[in-house]
Amino acid sequence: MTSDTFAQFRPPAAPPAKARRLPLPLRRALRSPMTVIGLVLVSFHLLLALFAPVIAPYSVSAILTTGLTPPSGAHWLGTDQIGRDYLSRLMSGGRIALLVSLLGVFAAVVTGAVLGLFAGYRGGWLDDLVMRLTDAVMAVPELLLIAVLVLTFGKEIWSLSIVVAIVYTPGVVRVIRARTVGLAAQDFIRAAELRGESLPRILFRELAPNLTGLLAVELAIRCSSAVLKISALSFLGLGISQPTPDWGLMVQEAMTVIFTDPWFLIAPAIGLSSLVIGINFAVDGLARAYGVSETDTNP
Amino acid sequence: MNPIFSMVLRRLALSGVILLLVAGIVFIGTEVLPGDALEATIPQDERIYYTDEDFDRMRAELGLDRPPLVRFGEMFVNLVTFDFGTTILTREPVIGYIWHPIINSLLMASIAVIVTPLVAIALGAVAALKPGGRRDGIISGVTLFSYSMPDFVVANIFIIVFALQLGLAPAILLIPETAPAWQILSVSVLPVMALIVSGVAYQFRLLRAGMQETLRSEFIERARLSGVPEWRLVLVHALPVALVPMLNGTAQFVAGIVSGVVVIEAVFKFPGIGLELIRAISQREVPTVQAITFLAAFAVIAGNLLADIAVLALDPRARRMTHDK
Repeated sequence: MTSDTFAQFRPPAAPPAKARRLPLPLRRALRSPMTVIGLVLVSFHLLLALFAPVIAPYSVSAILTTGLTPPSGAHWLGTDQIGRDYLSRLMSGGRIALLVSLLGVFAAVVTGAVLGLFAGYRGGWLDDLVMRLTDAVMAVPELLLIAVLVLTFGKEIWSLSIVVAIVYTPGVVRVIRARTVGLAAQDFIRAAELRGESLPRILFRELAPNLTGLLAVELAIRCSSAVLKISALSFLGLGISQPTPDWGLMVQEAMTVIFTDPWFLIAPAIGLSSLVIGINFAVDGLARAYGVSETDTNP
Repeated sequence: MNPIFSMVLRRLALSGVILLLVAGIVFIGTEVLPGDALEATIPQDERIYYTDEDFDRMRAELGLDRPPLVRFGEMFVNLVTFDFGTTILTREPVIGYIWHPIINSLLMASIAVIVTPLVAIALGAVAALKPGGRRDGIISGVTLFSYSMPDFVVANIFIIVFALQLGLAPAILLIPETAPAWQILSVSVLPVMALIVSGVAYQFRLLRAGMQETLRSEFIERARLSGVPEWRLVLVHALPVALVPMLNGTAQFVAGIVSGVVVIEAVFKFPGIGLELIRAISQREVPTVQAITFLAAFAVIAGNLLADIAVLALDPRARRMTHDK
């Protein structure tokens, strides 16, 4: 009987778990076929990047034949000039570029958001200083800046990620700052100030939640750009180098056999393009769902 | 003083400040290497041929033993007066290495800079006549697609299609650095086509966003109510103002062209500044890398300044804004 005595004090039984639904903007985005294609491509590439070493038929560095061979039953895409299985290398060709871009851009978005919020809200000389610095970094074309910084930092995964973070932070700062300036003039911020809220609270509790959609779009846009730039760098022979498989590098190597075996160029080109197209199609849907226009991301 | 004149003057002064900061970034990016410019230039396996005294002597000759701030001051003064110094090992003037490549690249890039906005505006006008219509949908989809294609992939596809399949153009340009301008221009057709693909897509998307915003604004509604026909509304009333976001994106556009030039030149072996930059970076020839990077940033800043002035001319509202955008 004792257990019943306390029944009224116990918390009520949890209501039956409702199926969690996606937020409205995302559900709206999923109605567009282009967005769905984009998301499917991105998921495919993420899974491929994660599991390529497990599902690839051969090791990426194993030398199996003498020189280049055309596609066959044993090697579906043939083997490259050194005699390594091309399909296996193709499957791993986006891993480093994707990893470096994700790490670097994530760091850039976090840093850029904090700086952009701070500069946009406080204004004054600090804002001016941050803006002129972003102007200066952005005046150097991304690919050149990456190439110069790689010369300094090196080509390891960590150094490449740092370089990507440095190159993409200013753009994020500008975008977040522009939106913050608009938000800071609104009544809810005035109200928070009158309540005597602290600066970090106003920045991260009042302002930041209004930037979620924009930040998600920024993350994805910069990621697709970073993948393009890192691949271009490898293509130029200044980035990821042999024996690591990389699509940019594979396109460059295939240019010597473009007359006889154009397929060796087309395969990695499709790999890289489908990844970037997937990201951009997904971003386009995401941006429309959150009401982020092209002019928001190019202030 | 005339307000527009003072605004232009202000932008000019700001550009100077930005140029100073750019020089700082180039300096930090290239001088403060692990070691210094001299060590970077001499490959690891060749260092055994040099003694420590050799290094010290060469450092003194190059002025690398002075404090960083002094070297930065000197580098900045040299860069803004377009004096690019000499290479580290051979001690030849950098300008001799980059002069002809720059001219060649400028020839190619200037065509791209003229053609890109024209194509983008034509596409933008066609799409804006019926927003949300089928033509708008197709153009938007295609530009999103082409915007996502890596430029070295586009260039190679053009080579496969136009050079290998159709035989219309040479796949690789065997042309000397010092070739006359008409010869450079005549081989630039395919490279320029590959160069403008992503720029057209970028500018079109900004133009389309600007158009959508402008067509919703009150002055357009007023014109529509007073009976201005739809095509005139789009082309005469809305277009100049809708160009503003595109013009604000000029810095990004010029930067994109410069990045594109480097990649496209590598694909076609076009004897321009991009190939020279790749050579300089792989041989770690710091003064040349500094000169090219600085000039690239200079082009971006100059382009942006011109675009800012164009915005002042096109949008009366911008003239009334006194503070920075």
